Amino acid sequence: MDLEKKLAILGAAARYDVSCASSGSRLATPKGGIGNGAFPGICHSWADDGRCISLLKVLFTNVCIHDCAYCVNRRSNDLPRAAFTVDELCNLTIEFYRRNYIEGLFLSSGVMRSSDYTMERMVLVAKKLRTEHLFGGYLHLKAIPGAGRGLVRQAGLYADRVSVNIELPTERSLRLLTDKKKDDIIAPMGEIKSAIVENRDERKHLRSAPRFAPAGQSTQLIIGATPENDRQILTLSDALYRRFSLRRVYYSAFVPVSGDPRLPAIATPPLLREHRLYQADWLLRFYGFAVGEILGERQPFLDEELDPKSAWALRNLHLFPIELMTAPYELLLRVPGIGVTSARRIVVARRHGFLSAEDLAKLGVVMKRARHFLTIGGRMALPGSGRHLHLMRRDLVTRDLLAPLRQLPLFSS
Amino acid sequence: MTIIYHYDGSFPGFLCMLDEALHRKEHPFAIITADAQEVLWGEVRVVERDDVRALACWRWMKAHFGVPTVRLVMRAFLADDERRDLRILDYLSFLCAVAPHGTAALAHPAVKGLDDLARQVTVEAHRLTGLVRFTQVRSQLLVAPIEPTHRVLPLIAPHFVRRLPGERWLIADLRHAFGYYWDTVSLREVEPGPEIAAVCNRPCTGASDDPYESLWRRYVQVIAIAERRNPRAQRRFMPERYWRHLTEKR
Ligand code: SF4
Repeated sequence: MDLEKKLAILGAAARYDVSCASSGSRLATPKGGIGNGAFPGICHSWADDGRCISLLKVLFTNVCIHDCAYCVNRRSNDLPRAAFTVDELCNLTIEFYRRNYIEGLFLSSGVMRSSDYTMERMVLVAKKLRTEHLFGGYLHLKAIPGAGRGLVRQAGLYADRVSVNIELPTERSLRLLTDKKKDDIIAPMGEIKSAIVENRDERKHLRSAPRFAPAGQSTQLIIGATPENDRQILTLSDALYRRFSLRRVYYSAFVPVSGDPRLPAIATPPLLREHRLYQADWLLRFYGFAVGEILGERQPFLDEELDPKSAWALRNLHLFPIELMTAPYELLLRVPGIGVTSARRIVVARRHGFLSAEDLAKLGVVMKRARHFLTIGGRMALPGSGRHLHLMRRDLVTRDLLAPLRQLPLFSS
Repeated sequence: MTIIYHYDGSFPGFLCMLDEALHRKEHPFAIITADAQEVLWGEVRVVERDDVRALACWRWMKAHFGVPTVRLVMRAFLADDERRDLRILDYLSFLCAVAPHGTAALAHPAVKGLDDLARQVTVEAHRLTGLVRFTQVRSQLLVAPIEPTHRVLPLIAPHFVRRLPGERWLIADLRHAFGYYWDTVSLREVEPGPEIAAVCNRPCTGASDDPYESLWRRYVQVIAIAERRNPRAQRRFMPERYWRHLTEKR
């Protein structure tokens, strides 16, 4: 099979993996080598689906001994199969990198023969790139569930990031849809986490110790293939951020790839839901929100019409309006229409005197939203704001977003 | 009396002009460079380029306004904007008059305006670090034509020096007619030559001498999820004006 055909098969097979982050680690190019990391990450292109292309994202092989219902590569699916050789993949990475197509390689794989056999090949690609091609660009390896601890550790030695896809948010769903075991997934995550911690410790004593997966680990959850609600999903993400110190949890709207009766029949992937989950995830990581604040006990799903922060603000109107000139940074962050950047700018700019509503707009605040929640020197930021709930709601709903992302009800049965 | 400043268009020349205007506390009606010698009215002050003076002015600005401001000025200078020089001068005059470290007064129009201009340059430079596409022409030489809105090449060339130190490469800005060539040892400013012309005139599809181009095109096709097609987002992140030189879009 020629290389272009292989690339077409193994690139197409990897397209459902969403991670494209490439920022963060080895900033210097190895001596006599090629490539470095970049901060912030660099996007090189955008595909027809509007997603950023930053890494050469391929599977080592789409041959698989497992039969996960939600996956195109499942054993029972009849489709052309291919596998790269280690050298093919190394050359392709280097040649793409030289032409500035990519930041590096994101390598995942189906399970060929056994977990260890597959993982070994993937580690070999990373090792060759680092030690023979002296490649300093970004490397992200997916750990194969069930792969031995030693191999997972080796992967982290060469890769910037190692991740394991959890895919399904609960054990029940896993049992229903795959023949993989939960422990096979969790074990490598624990291994990576402890290796990262040990490594941090080591490097405290010995600066020259090699870095282990300096960009940390991430995982991916499929949204809408199983009946879990948003609260379950966010609770899981929150726990992953804490327990396994994950850098990112990626959410991937389920794209129907089989007619399997265990899977919901949906016409289009639940993109709006995916979008809302990402917004909620940001609130967890950068805005100091707790899961319980974003979604209450009796509220299993995120609001479709309102972004999670606006929804929270409307439920907590007793906390508003807040005073722009004195409110602490953490509180500013909770105002709809104010983001991390504009909150920081406000804190700096207000030292130089009063800020008008116009000034705020210049600092990047979306006044249409924020005006209902702010006073400046004791007066509402704009007259007529913050009084009628239906007007506030009108200003907070993101209409232009809803049209293209709106979905049909998820579970038909 | 209408005052017009004239300098040679170079960055050192520009610094000398700033030095002159700031110390005279003058607000010229226009600032013109060597390549704009139309008929004009008013008094023209010709400021000669003097590299010693430029360096002194540079140091003074750093000490007086702080490094972030100087950086901002440098970036704004790379902008392709008719009123660029006046805007930079306005900005610095404002700082001189109010508070040299008053960069935080982001809400003032002179500050905000220049900040925006510099930001446009920074954003485009960052974008271009991803969108530069090298083509391999004879004996391992990598060549990339670009046509950015602003003159971002001086900002991005160091990135490629760090990233591809062992390669010989040439990036040419066709819009502003200058390029940089890295020969694995040093970086030189050059005028776009025949390699660039050859790369720009190559056939739009298929048959290219560089086999990796068709591999890349194929890859970009297959990585998109058909069910999520979203040309609007694609164009927003990657405006069409850049497509002419993108391997995957030609
Ligand atoms: S093990 Fe991975 S590649 Fe194989 S069928 Fe399951 S999800 Fe797909």
